[in-house]
Amino acid sequence: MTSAPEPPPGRQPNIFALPSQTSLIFCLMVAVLVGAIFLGSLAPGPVCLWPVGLGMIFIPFRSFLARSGSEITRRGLVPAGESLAPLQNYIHTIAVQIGLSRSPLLLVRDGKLPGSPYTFGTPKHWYIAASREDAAVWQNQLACADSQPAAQARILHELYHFKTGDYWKMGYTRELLRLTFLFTGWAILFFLGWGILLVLAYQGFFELNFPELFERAGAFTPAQIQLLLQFLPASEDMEALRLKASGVNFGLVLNYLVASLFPFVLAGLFLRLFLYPKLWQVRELYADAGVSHNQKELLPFFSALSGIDLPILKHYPTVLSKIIADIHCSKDTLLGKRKTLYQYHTSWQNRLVCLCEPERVYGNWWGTALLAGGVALVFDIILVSPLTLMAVGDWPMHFPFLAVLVLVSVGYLIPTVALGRNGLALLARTLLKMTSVIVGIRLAWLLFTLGVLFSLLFLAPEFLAEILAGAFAAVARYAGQSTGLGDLDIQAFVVQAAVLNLTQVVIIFLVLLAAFASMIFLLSRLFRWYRLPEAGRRLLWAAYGVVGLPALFFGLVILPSLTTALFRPEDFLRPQSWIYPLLSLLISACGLALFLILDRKYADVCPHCGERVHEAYQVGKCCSACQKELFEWLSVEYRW
Amino acid sequence: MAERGIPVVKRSGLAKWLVRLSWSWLAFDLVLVFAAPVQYQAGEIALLLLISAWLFLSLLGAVTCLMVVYRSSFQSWLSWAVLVMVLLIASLLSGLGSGIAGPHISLLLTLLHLMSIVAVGVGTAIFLYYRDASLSMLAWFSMISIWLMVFAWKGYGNLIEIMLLSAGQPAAGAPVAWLGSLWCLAFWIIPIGIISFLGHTIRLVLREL
Repeated sequence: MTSAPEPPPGRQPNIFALPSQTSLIFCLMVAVLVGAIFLGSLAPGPVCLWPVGLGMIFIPFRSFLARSGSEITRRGLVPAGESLAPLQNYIHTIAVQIGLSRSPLLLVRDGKLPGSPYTFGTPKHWYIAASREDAAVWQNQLACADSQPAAQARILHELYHFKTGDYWKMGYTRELLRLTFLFTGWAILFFLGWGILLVLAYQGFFELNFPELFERAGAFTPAQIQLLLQFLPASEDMEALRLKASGVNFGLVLNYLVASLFPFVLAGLFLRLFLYPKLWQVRELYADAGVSHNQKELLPFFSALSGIDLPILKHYPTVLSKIIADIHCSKDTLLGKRKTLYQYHTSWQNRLVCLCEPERVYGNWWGTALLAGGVALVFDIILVSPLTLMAVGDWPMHFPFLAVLVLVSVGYLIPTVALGRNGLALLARTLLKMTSVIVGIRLAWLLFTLGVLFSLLFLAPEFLAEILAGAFAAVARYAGQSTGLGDLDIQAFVVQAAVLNLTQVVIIFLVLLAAFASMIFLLSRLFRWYRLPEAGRRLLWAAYGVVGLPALFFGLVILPSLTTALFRPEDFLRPQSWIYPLLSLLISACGLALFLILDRKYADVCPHCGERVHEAYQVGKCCSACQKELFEWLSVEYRW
Repeated sequence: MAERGIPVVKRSGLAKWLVRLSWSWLAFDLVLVFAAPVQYQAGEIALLLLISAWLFLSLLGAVTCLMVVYRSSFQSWLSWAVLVMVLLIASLLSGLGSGIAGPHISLLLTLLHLMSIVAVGVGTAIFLYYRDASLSMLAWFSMISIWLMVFAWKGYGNLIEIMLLSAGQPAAGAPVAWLGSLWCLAFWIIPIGIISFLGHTIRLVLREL
């Protein structure tokens, strides 16, 4: 985010009042992996998918519940005991102060504990784990007036992991990613072996002469042989089975298996390499923010982070400002940025800067654009897998579009507009750049795949024909059956595919731009509803509803119409093609009408004195008439 | 607080008594194996049945008792793998024994095979009772079994034919006698694994309620 007029000294944006990045990344990861499976279960196919989807929801949750027990056993953790009772009591006191429903149990281990201190647990059992030495140091620090705030800051940081709920989001996500990799690996190996065994068994089974075999065994009487033969299919049925089995091409079955599972492996890798570290980083930043919100000053936590004693920091108050200025001036190299991408914990310097500029937790426009573009690409790849293509093949643009729209709107636009740090014109230009990056990623992938297709078309057309036949067979209802390409003109097919896909890129670009433009307008109006009753509780939900409006309109009215015109022009004028778009248009229109009515009622009026407020909101803004702060819950005060 | 780990077994008086009894049983049965008659007349079928039943049931009871008392030794993957290896070796030996050794040895090897089948079942139950490893076990077992059967088919030929022939000609099934151990493992692992999975799931859920 670019800088704008600074908020009044001491008042910082309250990131807890805005969409949680932790929750957003968590929902995204679950939606990509589990959502794709459930989408695939909507269409007929050789594999029944909804039990797999249920398993992918339930088994990671079960593993998450089991993990705390195994963590305790594996690390040799024990309850803190009497010697650390004051520390445990202090944790309990602080937990009650910050409104936690229960206080975590302190577990310790003699000797070094990697990552100490850290939190884990289940919804009913919370734990803070530390080495006994660290816990003893904390306890001693709490007893000393000079070091007590720093020790309190460390404890608050851990407790905020429970307050924000990130302990279970991290735990569940870790298990979900682990299960995805394990399951796809197992499925590939198992079904490969199963397929080979079936091929061998089919050949062996139909080669056998069972009456002769039973006689040769010498273990059955003629009556027993007749009884056993009754359990076998009749000779005509056997012949039909043999013909059916002979039509199954094992290579195509293998092709189906790999094509179905490989996209999930790719998606899992993307999530594991990029989103999972980001989730770790973001959760720490929220916990840090919780500390500063609670203590109302940064120095104690800075002391805890840096190891510099608090009295020294208080004696030299400019140390903190100088460190922050140095961090701002330091140029982050590309290698440094790439390293940051994979790190689970950001440096204490970056954590400190995020405390001074909390809006940094939302990232900048290019980071959000890369993330959104990556997610859209992952969706594209998953949704062309044989498992899901039958269900969503008619709507190739929708899911990536909706994913990008929601991700950018909730994760970037709402915070940016709410914090009022950017003017609308600047924001519009930024969104143009973001949309270009997001669509550019898709375009780059498309150009690469089209390049490969065209190269094969001109250099190895027979090989391309084989690949296409295999691709068609992979999405057939019964995996392994192939009818070849028939009289398909491969060249025309490739050209048509290129035209359709490139057209989609243009459509998505324009529709995204239009959707973002409408989002900017609606959100900027929403964050002037100063007179909305119980705004602290309702405004964010209203913002989610506002995001839903363009999503509904562009996702279910505009995109379906354009998709029909592009892929099925013969259906464009049929009434059945317009039922859902018209219904969605009606709902969108009602939503917009409601928005405009409420905008008229609540916008631009001070809730305290009733006078008009003419300027757009920014953090810390006060009414010019009564000087009372507007949307006071969107800012929090703590001293640097 | 922690899940069921490896408990410290304090052997009560009853447990010690059971241990002594079980070892005594085993010793007695070993003597009985070598002392039992080799051939039986037509009127001694009841004696044969009695001896067979005694040997089977007493060995079953003794093995089960000992494994339950010494259950702390069966809570690791290594110990479970050892039991499986014992089963494999016992099945191979019992297949060979009838051809190369006398009737007493053959009987002993057959009983060893039976005991190992029971031991694997009890060992699996103990292992999965204390360790929440049923999913891992089922996944590994299914994957390894499939590929073992693939290699068996490639190596020995039509397994359906071999297994049907071995019903009347045991020698025909000798090369793949170890497949019987596989079915035995499946017989234990699948139901015990499912029960263990459900049991541990219930335990985890109840802990949260």
